[in-house]
Amino acid sequence: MKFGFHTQINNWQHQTSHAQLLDEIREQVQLCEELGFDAVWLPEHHLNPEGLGNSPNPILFAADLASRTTRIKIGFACLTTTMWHPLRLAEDIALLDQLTRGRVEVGFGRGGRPSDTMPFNVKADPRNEDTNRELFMETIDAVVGAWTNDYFAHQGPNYTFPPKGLPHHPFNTDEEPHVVDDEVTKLKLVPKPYQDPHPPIWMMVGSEQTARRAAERGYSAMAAGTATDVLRGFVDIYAGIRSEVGGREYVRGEGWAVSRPVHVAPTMEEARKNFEIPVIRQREFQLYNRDPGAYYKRLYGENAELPQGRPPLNWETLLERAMLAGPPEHVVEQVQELREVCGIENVITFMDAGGVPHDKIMRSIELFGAKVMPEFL
Amino acid sequence: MRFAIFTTLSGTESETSPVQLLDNLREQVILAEEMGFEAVWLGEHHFRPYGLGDMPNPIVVGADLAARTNRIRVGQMSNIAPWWHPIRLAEDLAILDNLTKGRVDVGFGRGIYPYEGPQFHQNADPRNDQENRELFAETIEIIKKVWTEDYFSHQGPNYTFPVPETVFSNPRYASNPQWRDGDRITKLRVTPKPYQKPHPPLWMSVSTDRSVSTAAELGLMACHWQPPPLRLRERFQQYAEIRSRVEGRPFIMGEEQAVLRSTYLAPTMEDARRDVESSALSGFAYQQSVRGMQIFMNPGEEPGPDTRIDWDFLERRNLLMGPPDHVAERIHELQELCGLNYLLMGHTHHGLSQKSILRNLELFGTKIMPLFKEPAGSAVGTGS
Repeated sequence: MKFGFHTQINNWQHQTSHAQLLDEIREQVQLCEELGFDAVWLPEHHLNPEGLGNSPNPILFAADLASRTTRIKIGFACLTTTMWHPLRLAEDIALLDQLTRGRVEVGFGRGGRPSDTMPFNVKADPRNEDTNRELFMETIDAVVGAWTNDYFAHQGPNYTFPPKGLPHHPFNTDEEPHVVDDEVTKLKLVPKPYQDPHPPIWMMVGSEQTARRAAERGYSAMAAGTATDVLRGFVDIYAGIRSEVGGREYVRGEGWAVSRPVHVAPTMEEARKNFEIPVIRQREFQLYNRDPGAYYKRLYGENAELPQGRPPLNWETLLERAMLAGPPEHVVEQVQELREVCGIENVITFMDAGGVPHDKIMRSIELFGAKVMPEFL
Repeated sequence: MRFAIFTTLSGTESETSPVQLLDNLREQVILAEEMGFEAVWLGEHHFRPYGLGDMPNPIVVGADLAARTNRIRVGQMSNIAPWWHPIRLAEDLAILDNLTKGRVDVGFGRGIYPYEGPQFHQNADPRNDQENRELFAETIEIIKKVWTEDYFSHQGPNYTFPVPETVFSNPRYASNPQWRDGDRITKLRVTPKPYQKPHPPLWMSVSTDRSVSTAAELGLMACHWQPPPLRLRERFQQYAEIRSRVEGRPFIMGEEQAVLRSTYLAPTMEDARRDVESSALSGFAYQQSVRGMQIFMNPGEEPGPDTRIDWDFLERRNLLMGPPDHVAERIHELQELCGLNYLLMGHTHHGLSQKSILRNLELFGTKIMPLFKEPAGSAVGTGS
């Protein structure tokens, strides 16, 4: 099995200086590398007034973390694809892949809070699902096209590369096959990624529709916030389609990773004391970000109806359905269950729900790495 | 006198892999730190229309270099402002400033080549001078607001933030009149803010009279792109006059200004010519094809039918190349003539081996820099 460490770069109410926060996460990631975690996963979040997710460009922090470690992979869970200019996104990832000699994995997501995405691209507003999905898929296509073709062109509903009327530069002789009437018809992205043909691509999957889309495209799938029994449905749909498309049998859970809130402490009481308030607060913020009904269904199944009033997000529910917490032996059982029910072989631990002190996160990493992971390696 | 290095990641054999280019750059920057250079400045170029400048984001590379060094500052000369979404550029620079605990210097440019800009913004094409300049100034205005205002809003010809009538309902967010009016978003809060307060030092790369004025009017420090000595003097004067007028205090010659020079030290002039003449000539020929020859000439000089950009033309006007005593004399001339106190050394040259690049840095650090060490307390125009 593989294990990852997922940080949201949370700084609840901006209680810590950003430079201090970065130092703490560097220390957490270095410990993860020592303990044999496979990857650290970084998020993209903009414009967060309450201090949840201070990470407008995780590619920069990734370059820093990679320079301070030697082996651990750097993944993105996820880049908010719809908020990026496709060429800048392709360039930044490729550059990072070169800087790290291929330690990069890329998760693409559609976007969470409308107020974050709209200043970057009004079409990225996730409430307009059709427009948003179209922009999402087109951006991924443009990125992959730029990575995998020596010279590329793209035309879609949102972008045309190169734009019309781009003059040929007489110094660039190897572009000449693509010059028509002194106008450039294809572009070269430089540098290309280090990994051939490109870094592994993950799609963030929170619905059957996206599970299908990921499988059709042959991308890996990552779930976050989805309860184990709901996830089982996604995983089965994905395996069926990938087996058809890929020309071989995909077993349940193959190609998947699951991110779960995690807190390991010597006792359940202590885990609850450290983690209950932060994790419920963070989940409640998320619940309302896009579509509370959809979020609720991920936690309680397709037929669940969002109740009136305050929905029952509580410690017991999360612990039963979508969180790994408690003493190591309990967490071992929970991982075992996730593996048995969904075939998951890649578990990503999300430990900084915002307001969990650094020393408690460090101990949780230590306990997870020393007492949980060895049971599965 | 302050010294820095500058590159667009184009300084070695064209067949070198990107990984090797980046490793070479790391080695150069580590040596530059050891030699006492103040900063490394990186350029932004996209799509390699001419086989040079494989660095689409100098901020990303800056994060890597800073993590491998302790003291040297990491700058961009330049972030091409019109090619960026203003909030993203402000965010990226603020992240880098926090990652490096305040070692960031920021340079802005408008973009030279029409090949690159129109991919990113329809008004970023430098052929549309007016639109490009307007977009440049607006982008910088937004970036400064993002950095210095806890919650900001903006309305201009190219951008409006927040998007009007953005409504967002999330009961978990406290009612906060600083950014919400009911469910309507009135302002945006961008975090993190830069580590340096109020923000990192700001520069603009300039190569025309008009850009010199823009830099001085916007209060940006000016880095002049390789003009010959007398032209540089004229531009330094122009900048000092405008800034003095705008800010109501006297700016002296050279204050908050720098010059970029393609620099190469070798034991003899013959060695220098052998190693870098063809690279220097092609680099200037390339720029001339877009910018014209005039910007590399002194005031009063007119390009004639026979004027050619050759070694003799460039060496005495625009380069710092040759044996150390010769180069020292040229720098001294700039100091005397223009009040120069900050030199960016273009330290890489296309086709040059890594060994020669490192020797270039080492010779500069050991033979040139000690000659220009100032007694403590005498520095002017520290630009902070």
